[in-house]
Amino acid sequence: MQQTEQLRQRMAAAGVELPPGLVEVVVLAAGPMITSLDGLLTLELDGLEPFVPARLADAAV
Amino acid sequence: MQTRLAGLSVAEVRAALRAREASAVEVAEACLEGLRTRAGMHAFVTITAADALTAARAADAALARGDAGPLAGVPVAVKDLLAVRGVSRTNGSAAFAGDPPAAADAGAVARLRAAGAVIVGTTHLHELAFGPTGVNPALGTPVNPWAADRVPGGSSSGSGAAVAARLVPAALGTDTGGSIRVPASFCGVTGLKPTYGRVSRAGVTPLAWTLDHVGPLARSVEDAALVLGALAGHDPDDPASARVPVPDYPALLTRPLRSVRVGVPRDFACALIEPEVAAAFETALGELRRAGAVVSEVAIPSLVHTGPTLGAIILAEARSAIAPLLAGRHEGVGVELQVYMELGKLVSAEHYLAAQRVRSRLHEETRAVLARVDLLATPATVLAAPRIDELQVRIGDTEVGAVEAICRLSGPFNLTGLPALALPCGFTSDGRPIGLQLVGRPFAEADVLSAGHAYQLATDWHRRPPPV
Repeated sequence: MQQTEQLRQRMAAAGVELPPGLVEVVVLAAGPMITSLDGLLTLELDGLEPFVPARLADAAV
Repeated sequence: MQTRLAGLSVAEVRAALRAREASAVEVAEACLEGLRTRAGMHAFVTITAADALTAARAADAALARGDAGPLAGVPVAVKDLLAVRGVSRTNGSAAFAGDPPAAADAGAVARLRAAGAVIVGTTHLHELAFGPTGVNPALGTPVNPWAADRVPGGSSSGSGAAVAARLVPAALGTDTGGSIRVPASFCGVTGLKPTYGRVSRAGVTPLAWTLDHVGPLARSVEDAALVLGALAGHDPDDPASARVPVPDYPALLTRPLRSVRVGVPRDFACALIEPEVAAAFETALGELRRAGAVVSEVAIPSLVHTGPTLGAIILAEARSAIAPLLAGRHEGVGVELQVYMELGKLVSAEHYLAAQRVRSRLHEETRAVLARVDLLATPATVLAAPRIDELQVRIGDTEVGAVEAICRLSGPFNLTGLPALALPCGFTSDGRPIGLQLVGRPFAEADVLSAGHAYQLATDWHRRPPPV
């Protein structure tokens, strides 16, 4: 319940605009995914630059 | 005669035309008749009959002259996310209804035409390609030919359903998180997501620039190789297009599987999976071993971060790519797409960059594994096609979001950009198709295709026709 309310507040703070009837559904269906985004910020990523997919050509077989 | 011609594969059409058993016009007429009589499949948005017959006449002339292209006279459908000259593109959304027809073909479509293919129409999709089920409340959901109460898979839903139902021998799809391989898996056909940059994205409505791919859906690996041969190559109109030589894919298909090393990232691939999918996957690995492959387990630890990594990148890039396209069109935008556009506001720059850096780690780990093995194998999806109304699915004791479950094993190879092939490897007890996925090194589509072809020579899952 607390997590649901936090998610609701987070969406409001980010300016997320949803039809009132949809908020519950979105919190239920997408809540875990939204929360999981923050897990990315806790990972140890030292030495890693953002991926550049076009560089795959350098590794072509 | 027409019925027989309508159900031919790419290889069979080529053989029939070259043996003068039929003309390209006869093949096109049979295909168009099938599209009319089976309109209830709801696979097609637009049927380009006049244009198709003109192309078929040109193919017949080229065949008579002896200078026909590799796909001369082969009917092909195109996902309605790619520009097709003279056709109004919906992008799977009522918001684009009434847009003027495209003045020019997308790069991939132009290559198909140059190879002699006969474009017969455009196919339905998940709205703006943003979703893996293919369910489209506004424009309609294509019928899964194996199970009408189940999703066809998306976002290239119409392309998957059309190929499975034998309406066309091949179709184009796009794949940002699994949108070629998911409908291939759920509809029991073969689908290839090539390496990022291998096939032009010019003239394709973007969803997420760093994840978007174009590729074929077809009935067999042989057919997919024939279509890829026409599609692949550098296109100056696509800034991500690679200048990497294109091999003769069909000629390389018959390389044996003997001693090919296949790695299975089992810890991730089989951690959350429907039991019948797991069983079919193990049987498929057994077939690969019998064909001479050396199968071993490998570890790619960062696969566990696929969900949030893919989510952050798609939500952020799609909001940037799509929101401007929807300006002034809000009346026709579906609820699901509206929600995704709004959720994109929750992805900060920190989230986005962390996701792109996780992606680098996943790439490094995968590259290290692919230095020790030639291919990776996983199920294409961890579940067979779910019901149309399922937002959550239960896998074993775990309740999980349907989108996350569906993209769990396809998403990693959008993140890494590696070539990934989905092909049929069995059925559930209630008759829904199950897919196998084979993944190769960058631009090693030929390795993936030859392994898949060897598997299809030893099995007949891809030859079984659906009941609808």
